[in-house]
Amino acid sequence: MISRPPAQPPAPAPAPPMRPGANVLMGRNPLGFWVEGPRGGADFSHPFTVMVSGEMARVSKGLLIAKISVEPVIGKVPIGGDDKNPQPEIKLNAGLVDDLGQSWICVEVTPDKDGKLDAKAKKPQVVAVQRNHPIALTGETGRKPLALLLRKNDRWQVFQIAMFHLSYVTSQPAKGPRQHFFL
Amino acid sequence: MTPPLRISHNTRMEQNQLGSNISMSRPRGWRHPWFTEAKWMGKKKAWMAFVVAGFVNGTAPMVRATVGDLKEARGTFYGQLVDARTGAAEIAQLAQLAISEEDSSGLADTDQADVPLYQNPPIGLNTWRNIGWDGSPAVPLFFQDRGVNKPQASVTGNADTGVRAQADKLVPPKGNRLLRACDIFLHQPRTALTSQITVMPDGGMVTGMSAVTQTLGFRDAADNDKLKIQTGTFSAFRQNALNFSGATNVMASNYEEKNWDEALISTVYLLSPPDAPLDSEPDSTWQAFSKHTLFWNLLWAQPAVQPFFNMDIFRGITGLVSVLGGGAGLGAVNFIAASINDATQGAYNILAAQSLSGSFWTPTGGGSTSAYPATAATPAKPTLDKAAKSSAAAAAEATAKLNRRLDPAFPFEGQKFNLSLIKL
Repeated sequence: MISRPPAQPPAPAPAPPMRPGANVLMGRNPLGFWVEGPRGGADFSHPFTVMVSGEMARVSKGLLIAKISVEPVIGKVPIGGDDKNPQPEIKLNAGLVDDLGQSWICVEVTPDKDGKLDAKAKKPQVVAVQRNHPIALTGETGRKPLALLLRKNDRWQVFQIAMFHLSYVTSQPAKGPRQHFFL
Repeated sequence: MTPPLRISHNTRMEQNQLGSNISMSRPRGWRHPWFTEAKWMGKKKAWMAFVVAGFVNGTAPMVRATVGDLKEARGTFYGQLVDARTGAAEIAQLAQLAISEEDSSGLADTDQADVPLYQNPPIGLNTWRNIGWDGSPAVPLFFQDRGVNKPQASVTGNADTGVRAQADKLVPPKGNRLLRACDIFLHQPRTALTSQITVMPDGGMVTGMSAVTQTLGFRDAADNDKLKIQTGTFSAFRQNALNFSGATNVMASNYEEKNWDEALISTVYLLSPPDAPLDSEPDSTWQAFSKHTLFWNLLWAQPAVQPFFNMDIFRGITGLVSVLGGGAGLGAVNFIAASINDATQGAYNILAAQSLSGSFWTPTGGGSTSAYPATAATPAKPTLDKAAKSSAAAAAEATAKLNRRLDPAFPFEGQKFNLSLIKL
């Protein structure tokens, strides 16, 4: 007579290996498995991007397109920097925001009497506008906001406004102040 | 031994009774200014819109919202905000609101607050208009492709006048879907032109003529008016400063321009489930779509106030009338001894020429046209191959259907600059 051991339940199948699903990246290293999700879509890269670090702001390269194209400056350095100078910065003042905590980075244009932007005219400046209106379409100097800076919880939050190079047109009416248009 | 599971970028791991749960945030790219998304607010049981911050002259428009709505949008998002297409994490990201817990602690839920658009306040969508079987026949192709049928019209009333009324009692086709729409638009206050006509029938030099004086002035924007967002039904007619309808007679009454400009941002559409009862109210089972009109930040200006000419149609310009501005400026324009018809046309022409209606434009860097480079059309090659023709026709049909989108492709569209703003 042959005795047989009672039937044993089959051994559990080994757990199937983990597999990544759609848009999931999975890997293994000495520390274990890792799973990585999809990154967000690419940002829209454009001129005049304003970046704030601490209390300093920088602006990426952008052009004012008139009869000649001019890159605005911060101080005397083009906003994108040049061969001799790194990208310039603007010092922000948290004490000069308006009631809503707003402040702006703007480009200001002061053409010569003939409305030209040339070597003799004052180069367009990028400035921090605080406690002042961010836009000026009439007067000696035209102003156009590039970004709104919101002071909140002791930090600056940037809301980009300008997303293209700017065409610039100016006109001196027979009567009244000079007009500035950013198109 | 299986090494422990570790999470990396854009993932979150939680433990529950069933084991480890790994969730990943939905990828989200750049969204253009004025991008509109409608959400169902579970507690309020209403659809509300969230709009990505856009700016006019560097300023964000204000949204008037109740504190209760702000608290709901800011509060516990899981279970309170329901959206079939997006996750709660995205809603939480949308609802970074202006007022903090401390700021709003002393406010009642019914109190109202003006919140800048960049704080993502919820925008109430209350006045829906019906489109489709139980409403307007103007159904966009995009929604016709998704089961919205135009109403069947039958001739009723006076057949001579051709008045047609929709027979809304007819049974809609099986699978019919209903459509609702609500517009979101900008409101920009401005100075307006006013006109007052004085007619002296017996003052003319020639029988049948009248001495007519048209006095122009200004009216400032209301003190508490500000750049803001409104909802409802946007009408292009409201944009027109010279909104003369057939019933308006510039000679019979004082005329005042609207002292604001408006621009349509987007239209939110709600699409019902199939076979929804006619005239039913939208709820969480409806699907939201947005059709955008604005895609980029704007600049706005109105014409410079010019001195009015004191005109005599017989003697020409007699002198300049000084304009004081600030609502105090007045200019008199005389139409001496003009027939009423001539004077009406003259008054209209002067209003059109002196209108202070402003305009919005998109600074694209491309000049006054705001036109982006056009896509060159590819001509179809002639062929005798029937299969190729059939295939090409099917491809063209598929392309046409794809093109029936609500929004144009990147770089979208810009608002053209109004060249008349430039004074020489």
